[in-house]
Amino acid sequence: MTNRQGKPYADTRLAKYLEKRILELRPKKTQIAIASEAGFVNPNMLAMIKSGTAKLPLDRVSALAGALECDPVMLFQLAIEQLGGDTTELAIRQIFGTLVTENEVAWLEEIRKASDHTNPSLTSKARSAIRGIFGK
Amino acid sequence: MSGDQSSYTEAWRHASSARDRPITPNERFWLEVIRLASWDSDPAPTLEQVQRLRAVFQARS
Repeated sequence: MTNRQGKPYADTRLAKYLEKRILELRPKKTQIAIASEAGFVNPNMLAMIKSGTAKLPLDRVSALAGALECDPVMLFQLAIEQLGGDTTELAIRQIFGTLVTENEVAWLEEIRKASDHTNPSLTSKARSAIRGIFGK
Repeated sequence: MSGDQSSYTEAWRHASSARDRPITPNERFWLEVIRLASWDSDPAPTLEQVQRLRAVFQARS
């Protein structure tokens, strides 16, 4: 984990996601409104998490997911990554299995149906096709 | 068990049945690629995307 000018979490996926999602929601609600909806007593806290100065406390995941209108499982995964080290993620995976969002469940079901439940391996061709599906 | 507890248990069972399904290592790779390709935007599959996904498997067979 890098520590850019006192911003140890700036390079985490959560900080990047937060920045993008707040921008996307801008026509609907302000960052202060999101912070308030998520239950942050100090609205600056959300700005600090977005900039990577602070990490997202796990007890804010559910409310913040509601405010950001995103899947709480995905936000939880990103928050766990911020804790650093692989052991927490590993422990969660050992106990709960791979965490998946509702949308990922839908993707898995489509993959299972399309492959006739053959548990297909991911070929390089399939990888390229997935990138193409998302225009990457 | 009180009524509250029983409805809680039922809600938990329902929630876990939707998500607690064994995911194979191959499926984890598929999910990882979807996460990367979609920039972690957690997209819902659209009809067009599903049709393109099916085409991947039709090309295999």
